[in-house]
Amino acid sequence: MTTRVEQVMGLPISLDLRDEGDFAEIVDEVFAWFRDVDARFSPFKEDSEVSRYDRGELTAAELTDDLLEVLELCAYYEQLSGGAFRARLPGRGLDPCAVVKGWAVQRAADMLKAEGATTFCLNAGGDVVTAGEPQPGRPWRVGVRHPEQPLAVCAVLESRNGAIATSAAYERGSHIVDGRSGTPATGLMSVTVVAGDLVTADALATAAFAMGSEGISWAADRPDCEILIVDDSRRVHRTAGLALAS
Amino acid sequence: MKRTIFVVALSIAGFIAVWRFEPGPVHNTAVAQAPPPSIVAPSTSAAPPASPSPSTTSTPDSTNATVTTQGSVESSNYGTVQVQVTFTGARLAAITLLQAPDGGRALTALPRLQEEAMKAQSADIDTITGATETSESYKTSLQAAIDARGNR
Repeated sequence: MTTRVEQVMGLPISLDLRDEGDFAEIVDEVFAWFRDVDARFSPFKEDSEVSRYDRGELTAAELTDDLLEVLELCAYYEQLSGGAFRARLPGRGLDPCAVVKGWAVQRAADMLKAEGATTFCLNAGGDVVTAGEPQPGRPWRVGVRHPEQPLAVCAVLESRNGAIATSAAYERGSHIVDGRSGTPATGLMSVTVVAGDLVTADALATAAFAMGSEGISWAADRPDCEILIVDDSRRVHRTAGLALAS
Repeated sequence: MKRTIFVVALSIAGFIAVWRFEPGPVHNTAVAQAPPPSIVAPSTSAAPPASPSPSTTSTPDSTNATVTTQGSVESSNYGTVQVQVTFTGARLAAITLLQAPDGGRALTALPRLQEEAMKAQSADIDTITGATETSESYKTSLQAAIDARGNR
């Protein structure tokens, strides 16, 4: 068993690995990967690949495969959300963070699995990838933070091999901008998406939140994901397949 | 029992109001916990607007007896609905939709946030989804408490 918490990419990242055996090396690699991602993809670091590309110091042909993959994902979700989700807002620099986070954490989970880890929960700033069962027959129980009460949950979801991401406006309001209007997203308090991988879950949660109340039916219509959305009037919208813990 | 009937009727009325507000019909069966009857039940003894004819099953009489009551089948513009209400002692423990309208999106807007929160309190939780995006917010978060607790 291994647990580790580090502040990387501006996020508290918690790993709870339940497999027996020595996973110290791969766990080190996972956290080194997060530091690497931060150095390469942060728009807040002047010498990152993202910043250099944004300033025109790198051409598209010079980009790493990783950044090309991230930019393709950004373009895909921008199109899917009708522009509500944007990696480049008018008047601002390139900011692929919304995709980078889910992508990097999912990659880390895949690294752990490739080294034989079967049972873990990886949480990066509230976005979660789970694998296996912490006890035989019992899935991971993932609490959904109550949008108005930091120390309460408004639901508990069960997850085995899957991913759960939440985009929300808590005490300090939302930092998510509706790319169609360029103004902060309104209409929803909290969007939680359950999907097979964190790239999908994180991007859909961010896009649905950016869309506001339209995002409820939009997210519900995505295949292969389940949603739990709290709107501004405190109504809770859930898809039928959502795995609520009993 | 009179209060129970009233609560059932109120619940039906409440659900229908929600559908009016969000006219997307639901097709699944939802379970929502409800606040204690002291909050839901009115202080007056006025007759309920729609009188269900409940059928009731209950365990032997005691303060913590569990009582389950089925409301009558009600029709609305959005389909047919029947609710079942469970009490533990005097506490309204659960409202279950036995029948809900068919068709449309696989999405329910029935439960309200406060009711969801009540249900979640007793669950054993391994991790938290929901942004703890800064080191400051993390320090005081549930996730930090879970991390500090470690594996069990």
